[in-house]
Amino acid sequence: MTYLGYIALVLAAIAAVSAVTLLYIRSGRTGSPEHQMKLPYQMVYAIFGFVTLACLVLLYGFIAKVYSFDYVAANSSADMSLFYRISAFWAGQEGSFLLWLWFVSGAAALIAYLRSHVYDVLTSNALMVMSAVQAFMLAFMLVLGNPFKIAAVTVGLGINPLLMHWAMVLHPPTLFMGYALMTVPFAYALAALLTGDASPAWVERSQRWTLVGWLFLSLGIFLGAAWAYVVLGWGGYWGWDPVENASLLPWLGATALLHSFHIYRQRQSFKRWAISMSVFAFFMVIMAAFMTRGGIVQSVHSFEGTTGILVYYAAVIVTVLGVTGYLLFNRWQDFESKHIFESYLSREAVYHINNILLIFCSVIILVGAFLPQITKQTVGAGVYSAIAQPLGIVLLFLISVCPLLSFGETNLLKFGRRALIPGVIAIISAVPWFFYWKSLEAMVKSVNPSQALPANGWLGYVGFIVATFAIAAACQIYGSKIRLRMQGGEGFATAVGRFFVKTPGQAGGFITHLGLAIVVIGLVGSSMYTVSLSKTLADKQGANFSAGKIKFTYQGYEQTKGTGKEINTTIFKVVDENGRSLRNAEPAYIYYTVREQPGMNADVIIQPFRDIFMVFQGINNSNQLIFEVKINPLISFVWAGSILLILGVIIAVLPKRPGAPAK
Amino acid sequence: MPAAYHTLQGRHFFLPTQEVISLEKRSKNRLVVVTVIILGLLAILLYSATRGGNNLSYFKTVTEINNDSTLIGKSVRVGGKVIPKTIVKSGTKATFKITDSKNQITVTYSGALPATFADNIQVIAEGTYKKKGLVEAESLVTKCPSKYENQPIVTK
Repeated sequence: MTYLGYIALVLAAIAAVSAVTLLYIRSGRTGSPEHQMKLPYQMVYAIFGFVTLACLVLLYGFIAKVYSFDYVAANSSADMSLFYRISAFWAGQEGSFLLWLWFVSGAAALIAYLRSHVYDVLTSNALMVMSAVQAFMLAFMLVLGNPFKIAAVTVGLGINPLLMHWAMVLHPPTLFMGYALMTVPFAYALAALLTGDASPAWVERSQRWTLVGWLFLSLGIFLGAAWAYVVLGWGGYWGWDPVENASLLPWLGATALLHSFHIYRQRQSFKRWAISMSVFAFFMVIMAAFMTRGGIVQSVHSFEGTTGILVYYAAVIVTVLGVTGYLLFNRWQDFESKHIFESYLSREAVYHINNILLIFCSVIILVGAFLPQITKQTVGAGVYSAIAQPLGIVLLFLISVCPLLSFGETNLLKFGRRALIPGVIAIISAVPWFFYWKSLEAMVKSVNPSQALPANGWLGYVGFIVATFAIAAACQIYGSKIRLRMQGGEGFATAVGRFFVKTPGQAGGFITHLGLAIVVIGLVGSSMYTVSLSKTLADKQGANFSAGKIKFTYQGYEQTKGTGKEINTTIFKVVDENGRSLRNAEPAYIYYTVREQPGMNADVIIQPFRDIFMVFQGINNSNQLIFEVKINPLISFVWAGSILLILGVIIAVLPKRPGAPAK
Repeated sequence: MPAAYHTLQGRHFFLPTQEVISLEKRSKNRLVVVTVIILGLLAILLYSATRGGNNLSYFKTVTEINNDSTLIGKSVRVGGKVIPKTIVKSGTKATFKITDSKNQITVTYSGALPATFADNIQVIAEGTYKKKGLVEAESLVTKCPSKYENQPIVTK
């Protein structure tokens, strides 16, 4: 069986090389007659077919428990349910690479199919690039990361029990889908350079793919953070670890890319930006893969690397940068944009600054990840936070001001009129926010007096006000768009409906920005003012402690046995500061007997403006129970904002219905 | 000004009059000015975020720390495997020893222990090198469970 999988990969590699060769010969700058283009497009389908076959073989290995597959034995065991056995497909390095490749080849085949009625030159060139990318990936799998190795053992090792969680099952494929889709704008950018076609055609063809890719990248980050919060029991969702940061790199690149695309289409401007950002986003995907799989970045998540893998990544990086650098240099003049900067006060100026800030963030993360290899110094979470907090607020401000500005040159009077209401709302909100901010500080002090308050707390306060401005500005724009439609004779409901249906890009974009503002409010609360308290208790009913004015009374504990694990659940009665009884908190300590590994099931009492997070950490040497309680203000805003953000993208991706947009 | 402005707005048949050329040049100047100002501000931000080396710590192996007394009082980051049966939890404070398979060092940590923390687990401790053989950790992370490939193969 393993041979079949390997043979499928070899055939896929052959198909990929033929596709690149044929497409190179037959597309060129002008293209060939239709009958000559059929074969190369069929080659693109063939790669997809063979990669699919390889995937099915590996999947069969997991489903039928064929432990002669080294990869199957290493990542699953007989006692795992079918669902988790299937998800073990992407639990290790080789399988996740295969999945990633499958997504890339699927996207290529779909593009070939959708464009096979015209065989346009741009798409032929883009498919050539995508086939080349697949050839590179296949070379890696055939030589360095073969998922079809024959095993030496005959028993499955199983998966780490902490990973058996729906969010962790979905997290890797979601990210890999995002990675794979970033190949599309990269391929079309190279196609535009190869053909010298500086019209928006390549942007039109790759924009939606990029948007969907961005959606998956956002979802992937969201799922990872949610899992970390619930399962790992440390009460946080982001630790600025290099591998967590790695997932942020393509996202930052893709964000800059999407915004450059927008201006390219609207204004025939930002052409070099769009081309470079396509390459940049793809490059960041490679760097992200390198950081997680290259083995030289010190991280809590990374896989071990080998010299072969290092050499491979070096070759890929040199090829990508070399080829695109050369092409961009040759076509530099063709992609000149005329009027980038007609005024300091223009949308273009904001987009420009936005792009620079996003690139800056990516570069800091990259340097931070590789610094330990160069100077033996590590960049702590403190540095990232100190940079991310002010930049995040500045970015949010730019995002909210941008739609109030005009393209080209902004009329100051018009801008003032548009900014008036959100500005006034923001200024008024400064008063309640001040009291809320002070109450957060008081809360931290009352729960744990020894916990230091953040030195840059005022930045959080500013963040609250800016976020309010952003929310008010977004609402104002909705209002004005809908009012405009109503002036055209539409009823209120029709106007709202049509705004979403006829201009999904606009409507979705604003929802995404609204979501981002809400996320920022949540980030300020939960990253700056989360307070934690460690307590030990005797194992005695009625033992109690308080976190601030919230009282926890121990009721006892239950011991249950599951398959391969022992669960010790403690039960607490929780009474809040107003004397109201909340639901019982039941944090559990789990012992996984097979891997002899502990785990903690935190219990989170979710309230609108705070989470009460409780972990049972086991027993200390004097037989006391150890608990940690965290009060996590505004964290639900992070989740709610993220969901809104993702919803916005989904709306933007929806196909546009024909009909005149209200300008 | 108006005539040139209209030419600039039109996307086709761009006529490079003298006035337009100077507009183009001004546009480029604005680009440079904005970019330089932003990069300058970012440089200041970067400098203040890493000022005094407070937030950068030295990544060291257990052996390196043991052999380098100049590190005492500095912030360090050290990785190693938890030596079995050395974990002592008293109150909410945990004390344990880690090794790089040559030397060992004691780590103290008060706060929430990571979920996977146990004997034989790879950890990375970040904190102050208090005195010879003792690191007082402010943060403690275990290798993430996604790294299961190096788990020893159980053969019974």
